[in-house]
Amino acid sequence: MKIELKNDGTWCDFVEKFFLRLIVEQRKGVMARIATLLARKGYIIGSICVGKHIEEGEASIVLTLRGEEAEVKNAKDLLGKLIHVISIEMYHESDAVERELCLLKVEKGEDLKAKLSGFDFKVVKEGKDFAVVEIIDYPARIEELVALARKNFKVLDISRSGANAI
Amino acid sequence: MFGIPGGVVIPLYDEIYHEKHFKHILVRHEQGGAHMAEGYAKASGTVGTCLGTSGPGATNLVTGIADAFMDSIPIVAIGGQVTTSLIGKDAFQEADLMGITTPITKHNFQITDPNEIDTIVDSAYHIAATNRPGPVYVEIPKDVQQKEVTAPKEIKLKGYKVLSGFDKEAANEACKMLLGAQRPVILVGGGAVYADCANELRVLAETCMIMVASTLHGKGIFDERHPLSLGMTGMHGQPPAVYAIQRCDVLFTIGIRFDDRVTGRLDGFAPEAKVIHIEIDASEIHKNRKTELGILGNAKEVLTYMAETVKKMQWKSKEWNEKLHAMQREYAEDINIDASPIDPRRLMFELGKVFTEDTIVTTGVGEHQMDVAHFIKFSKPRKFITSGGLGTMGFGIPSAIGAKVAMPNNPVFNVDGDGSFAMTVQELATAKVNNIKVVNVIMNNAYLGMVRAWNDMFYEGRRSQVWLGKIPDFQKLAEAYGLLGISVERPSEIADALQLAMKNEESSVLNVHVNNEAIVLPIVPAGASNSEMKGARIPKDYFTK
Repeated sequence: MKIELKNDGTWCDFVEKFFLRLIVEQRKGVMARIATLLARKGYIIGSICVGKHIEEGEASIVLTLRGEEAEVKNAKDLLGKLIHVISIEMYHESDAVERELCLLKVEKGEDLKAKLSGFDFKVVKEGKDFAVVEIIDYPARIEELVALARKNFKVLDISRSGANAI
Repeated sequence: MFGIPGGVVIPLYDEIYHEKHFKHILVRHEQGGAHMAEGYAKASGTVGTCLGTSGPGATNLVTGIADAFMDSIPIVAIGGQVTTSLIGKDAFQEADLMGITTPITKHNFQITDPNEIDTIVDSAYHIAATNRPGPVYVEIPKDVQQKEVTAPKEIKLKGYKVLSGFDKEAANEACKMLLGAQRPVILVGGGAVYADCANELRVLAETCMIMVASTLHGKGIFDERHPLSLGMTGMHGQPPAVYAIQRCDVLFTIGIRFDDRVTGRLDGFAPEAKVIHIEIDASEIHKNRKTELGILGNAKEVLTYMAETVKKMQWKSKEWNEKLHAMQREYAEDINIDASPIDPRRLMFELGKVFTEDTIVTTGVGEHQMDVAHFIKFSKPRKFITSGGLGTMGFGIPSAIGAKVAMPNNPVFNVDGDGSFAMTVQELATAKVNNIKVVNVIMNNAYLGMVRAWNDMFYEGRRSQVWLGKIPDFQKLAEAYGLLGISVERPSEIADALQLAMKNEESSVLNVHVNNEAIVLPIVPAGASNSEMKGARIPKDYFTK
């Protein structure tokens, strides 16, 4: 058993989430090598978060994978063989600090701040008839905020960074 | 280097033209070139090189590259590419070989700056040869071949380290498991050959008095004539070897990847065994069979340490080895069969008589391949060269040529099938022109024999598109290439024909007409447990008694 998606798109309850954190050389095609390797071995990437790392020319990539520990360990070992992967670590979700950035564009309405109270969010841009809300939290909290926003406003767009972890 | 020029590699070949010490062998098809590089690498233990032009030249290399990837063979395949400014514009003879080769190489490089050629080519050979070996593809666009090198740049491989050392605690634990076992067996694969651990393996096996089975690619790393050898296991393996693994309590594996042709149905494989797995590639440990003890490291180092550690093991019970030896005696078969048409086993008998321990044997893929694997014993590693993982028909002739180029003093035979042989037969020209001597022995049954056998066994005899019909006449075809061709119809003619071919100074083709209806037995049906192995002399209770 690798990763199971239910028909409604949610994950089976019994699969655990792991983070793979890769330090890679910043080169053309590195993401393609990672993505195709995981795809042809049957893994589904939950999210990807990429940015520069400490050294010049190196980037940090955080992937989330779900599955049994041994299966994800095998993905780690496979990725570790890629020549451009300098190092790779694997964490269980309970062992990592996890955050995601979500930008939410909603139709401007009454009481935006009041209706989303309880969440640590910022309004980062306001137009004539829209507002952009930024929230940084762990993914489950973001799901809750999105659900609340959808209930109260017309959501025009959502852009999420994918889970970051350290 | 085994290569063939074309449009965008003309500048590269122009440099080769000026180079006096560069050994280039002109092949007739890039697939042949790639298999020659594989044969060269497998016979010599060094890296083989092949080259093709962009587009179709490079796509023709792909089968050989994929084959090398499956069997962990160190080759560097070099492909041309259209001029950098034309890449992505669907130029003449452009194909995305970086995309195509990514899943079938250890790594691939596209060189976009002539100043990087030197260091990238060095890196390619380093990556191909070290850790778990494998193919590396290097793509050189035409303009990069033409521009001058001004200031060579060094590329650092930050993410690639040669594995060194191993977990000694784990090796100690492995020794304890072996010492505590009642029915231990060692199973060696191709990884053991690459680790070059024949001596260390023999010392460990003899010290502990543990019998050794091998996979297809492990043949020869442990002398198959040694009293502790069980021979090859797997789908067409020796039944006593299959029995030993099915019934063992500790299975000590070295450099194997638990391929389905070795394990049969995975959950029925060695059901009572605790498995120890020495492996150089971390992603192979637990990939198929979950092992009790994985040891990441070079097998030669680990076995040296373990042999020191176990020293003299007082064997508690001789029963297990005695039982296995008895089973071997019981299964021993007289294959000097005087039947007409020729029984393939008789051909194997005659070949076995002329092969020495230094003879290199390559094969195509099919019944003849499994006959060689089952009936011919190899005493040294790197002498049996065959396409195991990918199962590439047409591997025989070119890999034999590559092996002969690498090891000119060893006799080289290609034992082939009529179907396989025809797939790369054009390389007879390469053998002729370059005066490379290979004895080709075709086991000609006019069929795609292994498919026909499966049609008969598993598809109720519906022989669908498997009749080849003895076209062409391979004796005449050999003569058309200016080579010696001999047709053999009767069992009594085989020995003389072999002598004639071996004495001949050039390559030769023996077209041996064998029984059309012969099938390879024993067999573990695909998807079945190894304990369901079928064969004339395997009673129902064979694996339970």
